[in-house]
Amino acid sequence: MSRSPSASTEPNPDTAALDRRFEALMFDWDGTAVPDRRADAKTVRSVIEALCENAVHVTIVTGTHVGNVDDQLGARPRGPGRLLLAVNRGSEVYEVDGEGPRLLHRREATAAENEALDRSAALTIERLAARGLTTALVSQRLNRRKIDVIPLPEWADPPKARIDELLQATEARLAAAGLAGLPEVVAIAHAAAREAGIVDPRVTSDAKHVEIGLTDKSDAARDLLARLWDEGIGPALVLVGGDEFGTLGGIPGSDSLMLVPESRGVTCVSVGREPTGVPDGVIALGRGPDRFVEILVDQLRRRERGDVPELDIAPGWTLTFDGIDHERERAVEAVLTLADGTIGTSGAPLCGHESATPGVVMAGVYRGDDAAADLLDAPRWDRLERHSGADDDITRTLDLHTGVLAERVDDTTDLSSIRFSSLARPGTAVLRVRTPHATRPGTALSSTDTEFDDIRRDGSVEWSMLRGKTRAACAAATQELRDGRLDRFAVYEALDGPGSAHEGTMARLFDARAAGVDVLLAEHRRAWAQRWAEADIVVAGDDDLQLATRVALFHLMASVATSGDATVGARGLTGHGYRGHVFWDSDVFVLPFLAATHPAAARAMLEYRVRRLPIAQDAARAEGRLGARFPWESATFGDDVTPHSVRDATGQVVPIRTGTAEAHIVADVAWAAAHYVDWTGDAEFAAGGCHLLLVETARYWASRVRVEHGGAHVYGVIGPDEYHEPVDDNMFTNVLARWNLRRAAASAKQYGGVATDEQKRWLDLADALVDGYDPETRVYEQFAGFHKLEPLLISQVAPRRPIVADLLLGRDRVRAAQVVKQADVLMAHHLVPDECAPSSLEPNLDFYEPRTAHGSSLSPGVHASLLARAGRLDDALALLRLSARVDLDDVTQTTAGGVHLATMGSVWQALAWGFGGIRALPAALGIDPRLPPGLDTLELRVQFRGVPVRIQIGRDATTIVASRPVAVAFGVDQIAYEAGPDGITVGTDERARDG
Amino acid sequence: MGECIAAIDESASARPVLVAAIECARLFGDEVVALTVREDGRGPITVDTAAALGVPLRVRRGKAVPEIVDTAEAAEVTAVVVGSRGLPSTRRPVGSTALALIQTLAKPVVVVPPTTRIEPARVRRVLVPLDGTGETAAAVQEQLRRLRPGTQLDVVALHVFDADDIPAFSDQPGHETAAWGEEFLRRWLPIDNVNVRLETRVGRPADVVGAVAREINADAVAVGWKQDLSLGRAQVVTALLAESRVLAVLLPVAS
Repeated sequence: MSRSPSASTEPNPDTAALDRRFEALMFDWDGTAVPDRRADAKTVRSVIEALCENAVHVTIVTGTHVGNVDDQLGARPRGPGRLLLAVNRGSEVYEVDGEGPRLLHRREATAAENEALDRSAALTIERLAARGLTTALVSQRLNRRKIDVIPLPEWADPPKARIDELLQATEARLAAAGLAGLPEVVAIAHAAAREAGIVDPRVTSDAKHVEIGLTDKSDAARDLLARLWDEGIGPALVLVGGDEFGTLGGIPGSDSLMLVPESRGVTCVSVGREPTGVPDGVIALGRGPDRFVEILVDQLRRRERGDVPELDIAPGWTLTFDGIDHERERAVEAVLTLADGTIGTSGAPLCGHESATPGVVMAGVYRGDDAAADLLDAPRWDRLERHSGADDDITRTLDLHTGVLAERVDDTTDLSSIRFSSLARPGTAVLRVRTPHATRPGTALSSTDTEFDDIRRDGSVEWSMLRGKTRAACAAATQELRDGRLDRFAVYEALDGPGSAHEGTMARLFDARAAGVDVLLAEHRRAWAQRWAEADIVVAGDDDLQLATRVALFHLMASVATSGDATVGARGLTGHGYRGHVFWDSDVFVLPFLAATHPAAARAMLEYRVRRLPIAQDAARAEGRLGARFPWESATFGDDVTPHSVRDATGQVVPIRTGTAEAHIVADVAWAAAHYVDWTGDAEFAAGGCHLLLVETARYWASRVRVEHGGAHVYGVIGPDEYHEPVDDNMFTNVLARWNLRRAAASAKQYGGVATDEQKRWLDLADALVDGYDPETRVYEQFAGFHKLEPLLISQVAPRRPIVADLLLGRDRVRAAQVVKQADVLMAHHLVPDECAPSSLEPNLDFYEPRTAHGSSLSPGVHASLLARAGRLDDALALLRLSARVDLDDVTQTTAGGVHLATMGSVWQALAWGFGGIRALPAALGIDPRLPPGLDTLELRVQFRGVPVRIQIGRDATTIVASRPVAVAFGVDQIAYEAGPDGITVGTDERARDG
Repeated sequence: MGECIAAIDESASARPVLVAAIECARLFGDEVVALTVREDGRGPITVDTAAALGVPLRVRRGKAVPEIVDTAEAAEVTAVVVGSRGLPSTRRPVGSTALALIQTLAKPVVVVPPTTRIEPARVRRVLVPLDGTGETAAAVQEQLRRLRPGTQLDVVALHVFDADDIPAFSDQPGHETAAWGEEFLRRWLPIDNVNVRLETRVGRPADVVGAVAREINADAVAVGWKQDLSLGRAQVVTALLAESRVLAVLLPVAS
């Protein structure tokens, strides 16, 4: 929005922009909401309280102090919408609730700043006097000094209505003193302030006064917009109102200061006279406070009527799909899936389509056993009757910031809607629709081909139950239809105990219905905004990568419950691909993101493993071994559900050996537990579940390893590279096993429970485990005999990479050659770099990168991370971009079955571990940034040992801000710093600028 | 009810063509009509053969291809069945009439090789090569949707990965193959009136289609194509016509 004044002085009643509901209001007080500070505010008070009750956030920006506003307004809203007062011209923010105003923020001037303000005022008065203009200091408010430039009795307290006369009188007075109007007065004051030592003085004028301050309304606007953003409300959802946007005596109107760059996208109205016009983009309505109150009342009416909320269409946060393309539709639906850790709902069109595959799945709720176990299809809550004559003129938009999906159908259906799966109340789904055809909405719950009972009706509620072997799952929904508006609520619960009753689910449903769409939406938006505040990554300089990164983080956050035990399948809750089975994908690709941003979710994922430890112990015993043998692939119970064979793409039936031989999963589980502890410092889990997992997995390795031929060996395994099976002494397996044994010994030393001689045996075995390292070449042999295979470079023979090399060349050829499916040796460098020989990363990158087909979608992100560590930034960025677009471009042509959650985790790892060089070290947060030339800046957020940290990586320096002091080890030499709320900036030469 | 035209002449292919046409008509609920084109008025074989099978015979005078094309353009005609050549031992795999018809007619053409084992005549299994493009898939879908309700037909879709379309990723083949196949069928053969399963192979499609047809004992191979036999194009159709012992159902892509 341009800020230049318009040439027009006529009102611009373009009120179409007001024909919608807003989620927040930000407005000036005196002259906008009330005629003056003495006016009766009873009407506006009751409207504001009602708006807050309907979940509208109301924010008032004023130059005066809180007492003036609150005494006049006197509102005591009960919420859930917030009432915020930004007073004292940008220096304070209060929240008003039923008890009155409560200070949220105050910018306190230092003693030196106050002295500077006094000097500024004195200098200004002096210099104006020298020009023949008598002025007077009228107030010394918080952070500002106010000078009256027309201190005449007849202009003691002019009302807003006389602004024209006031301006004429002031200008005449200034002209008589030989001053070129208010701009010159402001310039004199500004210069005086700079001379007095104020670095960024804010000088404003209202035609009667000139005010010199440390803050102004722009600071208020920024603060309020930031708070609204934290509520999940972006600028496009905000209505800004004022009465002084246009210039006044050549000075920008005070309300124009609210239009900061961060306000881009707001709808802005002026109800003032605006004698010189309004800036471009401001809608001039005139008619003063009466008109503004009409707007407030209209917003209230829209809430009561149940208008459909708009989405904030912000660049970098929004995915929009127009129409239905048969070829892409199912992949689109997966990418648009709404999930909350408990349920996932496909983004299929509400009214159905022949190309669509709608569905709802519940985390951890499967049907079938063994390899046939698959996520159950729960009853749907998102189905509407299809209106005849519909021609699919549909637009679906997902706002990633708030997890809300908007759908519009512009044909004869004429439907507008929003829906969401509440992150604040996981398992609760909400739909609001407006359409002339809502008279036939269909049932609130729709049956699918499922093992749920038939849907029953209990008054206005529909519900259905599944009783499984060890748990039950319940779905209940209800809907209200009124005047073309449909509100539908649904609650899903997976209940422990097969005999569980549905009454609890019903009670949660009634709570949701009683709260209503607006309250549920506000809670849900806030919950998402909080998750993004913990985890967002800002990629400047590559808009595509920015959006793709946020899509990845969105699905990572949506797919994992934050309590209980979180079953996280390879496709999360976005589809039936891979039957919802759990692989190492979850432990080493998904969990690390959550451990670093939302530990409760990571903890829930670990609980999945802890609760299935007994089954893993049984599996080890069945192998004739000790400890715990976690399964390669698992579902409900934790037993191995890997299929035994498959008819592959060549049409041949081939055996699948990963279930019996891909044993590194045992160490991967242990690694995930330790990684969580390293990031969070969760002492209780370290001593409890983590210790248990470490000990039992170490026991497994100790019983698995064979000591002979001068070393300790692990025979007959499959490493991450599944083109070669089975092999002996796979480097990744052995190095992870070694790490596992050592970490378990350390845990045992700290927490006990393991005999000393057993601990010693673990350490001896760890030292003896062969890893294939050649100190001369510094290259690890991927497994015993790898170097004897045909030295075929897939990078040279394949028409492109990534590629499924065993289809390109044949299984037998690939098995006999040095063609690697995915990062294997390099995966050890990725997960346990300290277990790898110093300076071995680059030689192994040189050796294995050209041999890697990247036939797994997990591989490119890992390589991107390691290439970044090695300083090969362009190559790293190219692989990161590829990885980030796997689902958006449907590279595998299987996104229809769900998004590739582990690939998304690898995108985060490439950015955080790779380019950010961020690691949890024992005593500090390690940061070693490498910004690629293709990006301008990179900002990451993590939570280290409970402390939120923001890391902004620029070309020349990195700034680290932590909400509490945290030790930082910066750069490759790990130079020690402490970062806190004031932040530190470290140059690329690793010397701190601020401290 | 549509009309399936059996284009016959005085060669030994007349009976196999008629038998194939009767079966095609049965599958789609159409009527079958035999059509012969005579330049000189004689035609005992066609008359007797058609009569023996109870198929009405239409006779037109003139050149074969234009007369057949003209007849087939009638709205009620759903397909033309023609013999690939007169005798099994003829050197050229496809005679000039069949060759001209398949490149000209904008309707399905069923090419019947003289050696087809079609008696008793039942098409129980059809192989449908799909290259993963919308046009060719649409041509196949359109015909499959026209099958008479209740028709028992085993449809085996086939996709042959060549070097250009080998997938980028296959994370866990135990799942990936099924996931890929499920989406492939939804994308290219989303029909629910018959059972469809997918086979995949790796290689040159022209080499593989015939082999798979033999492997699964297909009675027919149905393929959508752009009717362009110029150099390098339509290799699957060329190979099918050259080698096949099964019905070749050629479905032109809508222009």
